[in-house]
Amino acid sequence: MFRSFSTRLSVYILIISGMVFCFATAMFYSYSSEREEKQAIRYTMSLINNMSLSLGETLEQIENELNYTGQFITDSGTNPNLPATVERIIKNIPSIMGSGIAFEPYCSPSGDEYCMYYTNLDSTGNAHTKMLGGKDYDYFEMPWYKETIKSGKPGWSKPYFDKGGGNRLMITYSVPLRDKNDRIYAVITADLFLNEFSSQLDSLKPYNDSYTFLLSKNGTFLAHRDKKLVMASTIFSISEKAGNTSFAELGRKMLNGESGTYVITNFDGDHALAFFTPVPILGWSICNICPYDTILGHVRYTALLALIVLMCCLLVLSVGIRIMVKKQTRPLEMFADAARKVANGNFNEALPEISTKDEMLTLRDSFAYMQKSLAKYIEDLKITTAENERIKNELDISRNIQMDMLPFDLPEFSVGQDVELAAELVPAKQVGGDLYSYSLRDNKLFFAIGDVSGKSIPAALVMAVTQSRFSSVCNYTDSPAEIMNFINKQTSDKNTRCMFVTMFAGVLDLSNGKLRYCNAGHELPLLVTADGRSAFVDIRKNLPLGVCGDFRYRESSLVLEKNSKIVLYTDGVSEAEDKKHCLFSRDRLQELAGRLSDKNAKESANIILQAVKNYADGADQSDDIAVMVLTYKGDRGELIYKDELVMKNSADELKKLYGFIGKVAEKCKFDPKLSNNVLLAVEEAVINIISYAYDKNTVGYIDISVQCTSSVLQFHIKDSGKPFNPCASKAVDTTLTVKERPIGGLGIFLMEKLMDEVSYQRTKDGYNCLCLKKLI
Amino acid sequence: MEFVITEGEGKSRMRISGRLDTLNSEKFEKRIQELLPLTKDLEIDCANLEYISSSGLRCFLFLLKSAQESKHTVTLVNMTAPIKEVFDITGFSSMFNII
Repeated sequence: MFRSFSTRLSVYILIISGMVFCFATAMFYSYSSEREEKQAIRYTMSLINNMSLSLGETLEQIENELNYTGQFITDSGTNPNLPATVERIIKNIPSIMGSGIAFEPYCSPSGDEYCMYYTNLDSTGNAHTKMLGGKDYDYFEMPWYKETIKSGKPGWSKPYFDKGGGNRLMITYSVPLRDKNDRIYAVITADLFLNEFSSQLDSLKPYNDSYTFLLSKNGTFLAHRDKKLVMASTIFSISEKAGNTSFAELGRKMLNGESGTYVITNFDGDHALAFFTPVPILGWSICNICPYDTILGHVRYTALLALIVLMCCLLVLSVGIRIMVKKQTRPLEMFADAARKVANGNFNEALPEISTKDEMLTLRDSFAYMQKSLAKYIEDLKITTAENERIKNELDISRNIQMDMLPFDLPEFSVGQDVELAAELVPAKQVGGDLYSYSLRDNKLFFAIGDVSGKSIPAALVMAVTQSRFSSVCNYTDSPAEIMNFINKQTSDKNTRCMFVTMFAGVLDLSNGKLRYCNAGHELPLLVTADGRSAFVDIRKNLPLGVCGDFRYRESSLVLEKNSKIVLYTDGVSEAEDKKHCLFSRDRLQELAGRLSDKNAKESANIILQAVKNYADGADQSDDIAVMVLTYKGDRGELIYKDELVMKNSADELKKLYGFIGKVAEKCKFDPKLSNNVLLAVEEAVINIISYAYDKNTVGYIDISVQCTSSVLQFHIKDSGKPFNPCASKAVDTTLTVKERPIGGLGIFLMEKLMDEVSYQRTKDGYNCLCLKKLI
Repeated sequence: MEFVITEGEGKSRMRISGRLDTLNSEKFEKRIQELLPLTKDLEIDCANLEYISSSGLRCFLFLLKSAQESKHTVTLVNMTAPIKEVFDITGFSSMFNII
């Protein structure tokens, strides 16, 4: 309803103004009505007091006149002119309507039983005297006569209707007349018509709607505007009839002779104020009743008028306020318009001019500042966006350059019939830190896979330089350890950012399938045999490149069987996450690799990438992914010789071994040097097993099986001792001086030097399996 | 394995023949320990040494360490090719005076 701010403001102001006006009017009304009421009390009370006093005076005058006349008659002795005396009384007291002398039976001058002189005034003011008394007017039984005779004192009668005399409602003052013997012989009277009072009372009208009534000693109405009540009802009877207790209470106060005011409830339910005061002598009481509506009529009228005036003022005010507020809030609407236009991109939209130095001006200043800031911000944003776009383009170009750094004859690499190689790289961002490389020299395949710490551009830079270092160092050495030493030294120098690279590098001699390799903290490669067995090549660990410049890397060697595969990968594969952040895991990869035995290198690499992609199922690729698969396809020739020896774990049994090896050398037609080297290597292996796999007093067996083809001689040495991996032993540093060199550790060193492969596996059923291979 | 020792004036010559492996390296070591304090310069003729294992090499290293401590000299002569190869591989060639 009050959606508009200006309307709401106007309404609030009007409501508050209205409330203030009403309050003022109420205060005025309250004060004026109180004042009016006081004034009414003062005025009316004075009126009825005057009335009461005048009534009292009239009564007193009558009493005095009659008392005097009675005394006069008594004093004058015999027979004054009684009718003349009565006439004089009437003439002396204008308020009485009639006067008379009533004689005791037979006491009158005429001696009749009934004798009463009665004089009254006619309408023209002439006095007429007549004789009353008789059977039709038995004044002896009249109260005014009877009570005076009985008491023997002068007194007022109760109000009564005089039939025959005045035929009106009247009261009579009677004075007994006594003879010389103090015997009452007559009563002299003066009649006062209550009608006289009625008309006086009726004229007592301080307000139009007010009326006055007169109560007798016992509460009977002597005068009332309702003539039916006069002498017929008491104030108590009518209040009981109407169930109006306030009238009864008023009656009690009046009969107690109190003077004052009392609030009553009128018979019509309205409140009225009763003013009352007693009349002296007779114990009567006058009361004037005036409705509050009448008393306060003037005040109410004034208040109503004031209210109407105020309403008109409010109306005028509302129009004024509306116009004023509208004018004041007009800039707000203009600001809203301007804001909408600014939001639509029009930053130069003109703002409304504010001439006042108030909040509107502050708002305008703030608005202008916001406009300016927005324009600048958008300008900056444009520049930043352009810059970002440029960076993105550059990153795209960088990505292409990085991809070009990888050996260009991707994705497949195949050299004659002997080896297949395939590699794939998927960066997580535009550029990444994974790398691979390979090259061919002197019938040797040099290959490497690596992962630079971190991601994106920093990693990409290190990747590029590492890639380049690998490519160049491959031209100078055939040793993977030397390759690593070189790259490590170069990477460690000035490595202020502490970047490091994990890398696996291998050199495969294509002529005989001997793989020399070195692992600088990289993921373990998987070796998959032609019959589908896959195992991680558990090789000695070296530090990642770039961690310690003086570290000396150690290499190992393998003799690859026909159709066996080496699967290389980065942690982007093994640690690929699905949507629930579960890792792809090495176990899954190993299991997958086992199924690749009949696939070529390229297919294998793609299968692995696809498996990772399927596993992630749309989840963000968190790390770069690189995969390299190498299959050796060289032929190992036919089996020439096969034998087996089982010996106890005792040095005394070594003679058996010497005989066994001698027989092998003879059957396979080894030259003395080869047979010497083979014997030395196998003997060292067996001695180490005896010394370290078995406790001193434990009896165990060592099983040595031999196979020889035209190209490879291989021994599998198996024992049931505790886990013992000869390949994990420390390196022997052959450059130390005599003093520095420790005694011991030479056996395993010799074994590795003399053989082309020394590999170890702890089988699940609890055997140590050592494999020695020699290319022949 | 056999040792033939001929002693001269502060100079001893030992001729080793046969195999020097785990089984008899202890015997060889014992003999050397007896011999070392008696001679200043020791010459070992390896012409007939057919085979040497790491245990044997260990004995040679021990011999050399002891000799250097007491400022004696050890010289190896007439070494055959297979033995020489083992010495080469292990870096022993550079430590010993081999003629």
